Amino acid sequence: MSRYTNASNKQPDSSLSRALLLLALLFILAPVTAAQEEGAPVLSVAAVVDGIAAEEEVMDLIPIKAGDPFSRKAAADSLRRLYATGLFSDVRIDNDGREGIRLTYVLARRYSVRRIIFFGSDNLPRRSLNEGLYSLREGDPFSESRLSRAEGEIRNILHREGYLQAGVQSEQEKVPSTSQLDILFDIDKGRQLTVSSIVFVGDVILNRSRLHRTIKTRVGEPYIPALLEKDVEILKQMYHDQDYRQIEISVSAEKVNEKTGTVDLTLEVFPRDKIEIIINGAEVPLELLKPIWEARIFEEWGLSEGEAKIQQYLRKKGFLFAKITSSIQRENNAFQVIHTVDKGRRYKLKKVEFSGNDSFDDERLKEELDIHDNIPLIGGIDGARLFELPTEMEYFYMSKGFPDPLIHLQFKLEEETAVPIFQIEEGRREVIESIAFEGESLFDGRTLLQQISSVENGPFVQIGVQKDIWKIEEYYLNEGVRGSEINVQVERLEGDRFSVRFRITEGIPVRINSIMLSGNDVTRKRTILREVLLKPGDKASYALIRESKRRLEKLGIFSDVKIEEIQLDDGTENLHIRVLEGDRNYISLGLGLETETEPRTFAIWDNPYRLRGTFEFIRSNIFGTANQFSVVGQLSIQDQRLVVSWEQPTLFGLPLESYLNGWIERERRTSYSFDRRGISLSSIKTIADRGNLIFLGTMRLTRTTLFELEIPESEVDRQHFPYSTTSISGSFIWDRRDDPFNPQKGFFLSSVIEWAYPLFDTESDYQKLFTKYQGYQSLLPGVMFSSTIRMGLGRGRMPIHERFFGGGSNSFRGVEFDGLGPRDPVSTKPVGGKGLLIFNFELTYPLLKDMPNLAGVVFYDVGNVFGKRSDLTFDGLRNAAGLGLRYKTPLGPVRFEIGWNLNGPVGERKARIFITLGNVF
Amino acid sequence: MRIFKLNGRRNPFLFIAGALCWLSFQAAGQMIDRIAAVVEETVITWSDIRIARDFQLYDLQEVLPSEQDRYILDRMVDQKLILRKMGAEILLPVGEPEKTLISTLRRLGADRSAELLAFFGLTREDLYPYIEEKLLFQKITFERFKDSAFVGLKEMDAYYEEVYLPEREAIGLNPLPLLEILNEIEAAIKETKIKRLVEEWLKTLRAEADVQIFLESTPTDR
Repeated sequence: MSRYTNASNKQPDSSLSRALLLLALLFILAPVTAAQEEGAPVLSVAAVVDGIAAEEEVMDLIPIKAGDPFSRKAAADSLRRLYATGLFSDVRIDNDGREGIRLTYVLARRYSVRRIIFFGSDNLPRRSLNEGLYSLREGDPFSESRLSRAEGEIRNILHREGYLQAGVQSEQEKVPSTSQLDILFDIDKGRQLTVSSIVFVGDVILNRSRLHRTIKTRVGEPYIPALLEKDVEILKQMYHDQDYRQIEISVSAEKVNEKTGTVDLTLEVFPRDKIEIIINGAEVPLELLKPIWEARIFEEWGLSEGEAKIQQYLRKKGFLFAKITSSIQRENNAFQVIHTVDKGRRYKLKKVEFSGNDSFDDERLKEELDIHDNIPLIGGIDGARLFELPTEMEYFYMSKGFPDPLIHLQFKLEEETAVPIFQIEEGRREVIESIAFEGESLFDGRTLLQQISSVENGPFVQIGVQKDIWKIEEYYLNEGVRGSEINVQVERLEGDRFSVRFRITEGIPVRINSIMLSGNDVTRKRTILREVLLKPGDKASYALIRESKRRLEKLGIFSDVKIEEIQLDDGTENLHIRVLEGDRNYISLGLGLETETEPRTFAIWDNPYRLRGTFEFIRSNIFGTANQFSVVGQLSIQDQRLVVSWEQPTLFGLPLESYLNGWIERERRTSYSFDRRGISLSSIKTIADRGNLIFLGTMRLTRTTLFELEIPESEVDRQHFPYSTTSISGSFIWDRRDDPFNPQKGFFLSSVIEWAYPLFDTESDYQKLFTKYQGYQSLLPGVMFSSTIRMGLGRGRMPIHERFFGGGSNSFRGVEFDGLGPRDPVSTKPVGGKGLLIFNFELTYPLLKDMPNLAGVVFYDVGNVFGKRSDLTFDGLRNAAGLGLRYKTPLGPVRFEIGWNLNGPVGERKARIFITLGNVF
Repeated sequence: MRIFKLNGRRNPFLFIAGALCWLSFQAAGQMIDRIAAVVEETVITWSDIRIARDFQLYDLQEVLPSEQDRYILDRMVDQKLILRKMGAEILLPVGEPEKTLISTLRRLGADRSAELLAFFGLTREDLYPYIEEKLLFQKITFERFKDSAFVGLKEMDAYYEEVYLPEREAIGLNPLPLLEILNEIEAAIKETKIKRLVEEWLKTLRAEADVQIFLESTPTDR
C-alpha cells in the first residue's frame, strides 16, 4: 500500500474527518452545555454512601428532587445541609448525565470513636493520657485533624511526664458493621532525661540549700516538668509565708545534653516587695487579707478591700460599728500594710423589725429574704449579712414593681443588744395597665396571655416582661413554629401605669418529615422509636422533642443522646436522633466488716470481725431492646442472698417498667432463721408530673423453710413446713424530698397492701398493710426537724417470717434489732406481731461552723409491735430517747447514736449504741 | 490505533474526534460541587471558592494561577476562624458592604457580572455574606492589633534608609525628605507588623480549632 495519498482521494477524506470532528464537538458540547445550564430540569437524583447505593432515609435528606430546576446555589445549600446532619464526613455532587442533569451525591460516612487504646512502652502514664486527651475522646466524631491534634496532645502529656523525646503513631481499626473506629496510639516514650543541675538565680533571699531541700525535683533523678511546676508552686508558697506575696519564680533555662541524656535547670526568682500586714486593735486572721496582696494591685484598692474584709469579719462577731483606718509604710523593698481597728462595742442581735412596709407584712419579708430572729444557742441573723440586707430588699421590691425603693438600716441599741430596724420607703409602684399582642395569627391573644406571668393591674417589672418574651418564644417552639421573633413595646401612660404590647413576627409551622437514627449499632430501631413521642406528620413540638430525649436517656443504655432538627424548605424538618451506646457490662464488688454482736461502749474493738461482701453483674441492652439482666450476691454472717433479675422497660407492649426476679436467700433473725426461694414479677408506673408518684404491682411466689427457731412454733409454722406463699401486692410511693440521701425538706409517703392467697397448693392466707410517712422541715439554717410514722396491720394466718418486727437503729432506738413487741416467755426472744405503730422524731442542728457536715441530733422514738391488731393502742406504746452525731456524706449521713429505753424494766434501761449509714427508714 | 485510520491512512482529525468523544464521557461524570474545607463544622464549598475567584473578591495578582484556589480557601478558613472567635463583637459601618459590592460589580462590568450571577444562580444579595465576611475579617484584625503595632522613630528611620532610599534610587527618582513621608512610612511598617501579628494569631487559632481541608486539586473549570 502506498504511503502517499492520491490527490484525487484527499478531498473526500478531509471532508469526512472534518464532519466527524464537528459531530464530535457537538457531541461533547451538548451534554456539557446542558450540564452547566442553570434552570435546566434535574432528570434524576441518586446517592451512594461509601460506594453503596443509599437507603431511602438518606434520599429523604436531599432537598433536590427529580424535576426541580437545576441551581448551583441550591446544590451548594443541599451539600451544607447534608453535612449538617452529622452523618457524613464528606459530600460531593456529580453530574452523570451526558444529556441533561443527573445528580449523584457521593457521601462518605462519618465515623465516631469507639475506643482509644494506648500501647507501646511499659509503664505508660495511662491516667494522665486518659485525662489529658481533649481533641479526641470516646464517642467523638472522628476526623484526621482531630487525630493529629490528639497526637500533639499525647506528646505534650508525655513531655510533662519527663519524656521529652516521645514518639506517637496512630492507627484506626474499623469496627465491622458499625460506623465506629477504634483508635490505637503506639507510644514510644523514649528515654527520660536526668537532672544534672538545678541553679537558682536572681534575688533569691532565702537560703539556697533550703530551696533545694524543699523541692522534689532532685539532681540525679528523672526530670519531670509537671513535678517541677508543682515545685515552683511550693516555693512560691514558701516565699508567701515570708511575706513576699508577689513572688515570681519561673524556669528560665532548660539546657538539654543529648549525649549524656541530662538537663540543666535554671530557676529565676524575682521576689518583688516584701509585704507585711499588721492589724492593730483586733484579732483578725491575716489569711483573710493575704490573698488581696498576691497580685499587683493599686494600693488604695488593696487598703479598701482589706478594710471591707475586716469590717465584715468583725460584724459577724457582733462588732457592728467597728471603724478601720489604713495606711502603707515603706522601707527599702518592703512595705507594711497597717490597719488600725476601733472595734467599738459588741452587740447581740435580737429580733429584726421593719417599718414603712405597707405592701408586704413582716413575715412575708422575712420569708422572702430568709431572715430569722436570733434564738439562744441556735443563732439566727448574721451580723455581716445584716448590712447586705438593704440591697437585697431593694431588689425584692424592684421585682415586685417598685422601681425606686429606699431601705435604711437603723439600730435600737440597749446595753448589750441591738435591734436592727429596716426603714422602708417603698416609693411608687408601677403597674401594667394593659397587655396586647400584635402580629399573631396562629394563636389567639387569650392563649398567649395564659403563657406569660405579667397580668393587667399587676406589677410592671422590666425583667418580668423580658421573661414573658422568652415564654412566648417557648410556646411557639412547643407548638411547632420555628423562626418566630418577639419584641415588646412598653409605653408609659398616666401616673405609673404602663401598656405592654408584644409584637410578634410569626415563623413557619413545621411538621416532622422523617426521623433518622444513627449510632445505634446494638439498639434496635423499634426500641428507640418507642421512646420518641413524635412521628412523621406531627407538628415539631419542642417540648416533645425534649421529652423524647429525656425518655431515651432514662433507658440507661446510652451515654449520650442528641436530637437535631434539620430544616427542609417546605415547612417540614427531619429529626436526626444520634445516640452513643454506653458500656453494656457492669461489675461491682463490695467488701466490708461486720461484728457478730452489737457494738458496746468502748468494747467495739473486742468484737470478732468477719468479712461481708457483695457482688453484682449487670448486662444491659440485651438484644438491643433496653432489657437488662443482673445477678446480685450478698454474703455475711446474718444473711446470704443470690438474686437474678430481668428488667425491661415495657410489659406486653405497655409502657410499664417490669422486673422478673428469682432469688434464694438465707437470713438469721433474732428469734429464727429461714431459707427462702422465690420468684416475683413487678411492674412500675411513674407519674412524673405529680411529683414522682410511683405505682408498683407485684406477684410473688415463695417457699420458706424455718430453722433455728428459738421460740415455740406457732400453729401456722408447725402445720406448714416449708411455708409457701403466693401473693399479689400493690403499693404507691410519693417522694417529694429535695434529696433522697440528705433531705432537707419535703416528704416521703409509701403504702403497701399485700394479699396472700392459697394458690398452686400454697399455704398462704393473710393480708398485710404497711404505710410509712417521713417529713422533713428546715426550722433555721442548719436546724432540721424530721418525723417518721410507720403503721403495719396484718390479718389471717401469718407465719413468723411474715409478721411485723420492730426495734434497732432504723425503727426504735431503745432496744436491739427486732427487739420490740411481744416476747416468748421462755426464751424471751421477740415473736413479732400483726400490728405495728412507731413514731420517730428528730432534731438535727449544726455543731461547728468550720465543719458544716457534722451535726448533732436529739431524738425521741415511740412505738411498739402488737401481737394482735386489736391490741394496738396508744397506751401500749413504748418510749426511747437519745442523742448522737451525724456526718453528712453523699450516700446519706453516718449516724452515731446512743438511745435509752425509757420503758424498760429497771436494770434494762441501759444505753444502746448504734452506728449506721443512712437516715432512719 | 486502527480506528484512527481512514482509508488506510492515519487521520489526525479522527484522532482528535476520538479524543474529544473520550473526553465527553469524562465530562459526563463532572463534579458539580463538593466540600473544600470544614472549619469547626462550618462548611466551605468548592463553589464558594469559585464565586470568590470569579467575582475577584481577593487580590490574586501575586498568586500563581495554579495556587489561586488554595490561596482563596486559606483566606476563607482564616476568616471563619476569626469570625468564630470575635464576630459577635464587631459591626460594620452601615452601607459599607453595599459600597464594596457596587465597586466589585462595577470592576467586572455589567455584562460579566450578570453572566456570573446567572451561572451561579445567585442574586446580588447572595454576594453579601462573602463580602461581609471579608470586611469583618479586615476590621477585626485591624482593631485588634492597631495599638499593638506601635511604630517607633528608629524603625521609621531604618525603613527610610534601608528600604525607601534604595527603592527610589532603583527607579531613578529623587527621594523625598523623611519628614514629608513619615505617615506613609508609618502606615507601611504598621501594615507589615499587623500582618505578622495576624499570621501568628491565625497560626494559634488553626492549632486550636478543628480544620479539615478536602481540596486536593481544582476540578476542570469552564
